[in-house]
Amino acid sequence: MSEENHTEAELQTTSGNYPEKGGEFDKLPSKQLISEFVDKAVKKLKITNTNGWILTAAGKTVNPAQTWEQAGYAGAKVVLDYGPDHSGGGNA
Amino acid sequence: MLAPRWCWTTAPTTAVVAMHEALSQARFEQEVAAIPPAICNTRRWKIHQAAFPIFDVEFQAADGDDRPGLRLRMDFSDWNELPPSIVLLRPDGTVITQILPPRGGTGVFNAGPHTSFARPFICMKGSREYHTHTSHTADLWDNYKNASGYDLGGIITQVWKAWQKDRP
Repeated sequence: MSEENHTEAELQTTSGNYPEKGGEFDKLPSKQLISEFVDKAVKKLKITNTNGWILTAAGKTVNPAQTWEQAGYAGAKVVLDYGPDHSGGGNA
Repeated sequence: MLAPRWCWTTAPTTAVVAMHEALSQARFEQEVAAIPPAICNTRRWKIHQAAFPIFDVEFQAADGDDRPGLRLRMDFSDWNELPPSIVLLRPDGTVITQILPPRGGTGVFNAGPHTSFARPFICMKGSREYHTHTSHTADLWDNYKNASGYDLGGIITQVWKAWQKDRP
């Protein structure tokens, strides 16, 4: 099977990495939804609430409702950063 | 009627105060330990100090970006009954006493003066300076302290994301 059929992914949060050891990657079918990987990682990391969190890779927003292929990551190795966006200033 | 929980009918005992501080420290240490080195590398966070109650972290610019980094000296005393008090520092550790007024960006970096002191501050839910500013005293920290994105790593992440968009 071609490497284009897979994506290697790692999710980083301030509550831990998935896979647990930094620098390790999960090998996933490129046609799988990104959200499936994110949901699995969040569950493994025991993060209970991700309301308002955004997913980025190399500073660009990633849409978890897309497949890896749709997001342009077929055959790629990607480090995802997942966390809250800033809540906006108070303008005191 | 129950007295508000911040009103002690008698002075808290030394043991109660010590227990509160121990819980605060345990939460701080647990949340600091959860931050993996990998995310610090990816985000270019340099941790200068992580000893209760102080978390001192520097946000470093990406390669090719010649703007200076920013350090936050965060005081997590009474965490998480109170949000952290945050002082803005230059990368060399000196206190930033003046920043340009916000240019209609995130509004998180406020040029000051604060109603209690005369220096720039983080004006964002989750910073002690926001919740103690007279404009926001009605916006209680209690409404956020257990919400998503308001643990130690979440608050730092929020400030870091604002810094990426709107550097003071």
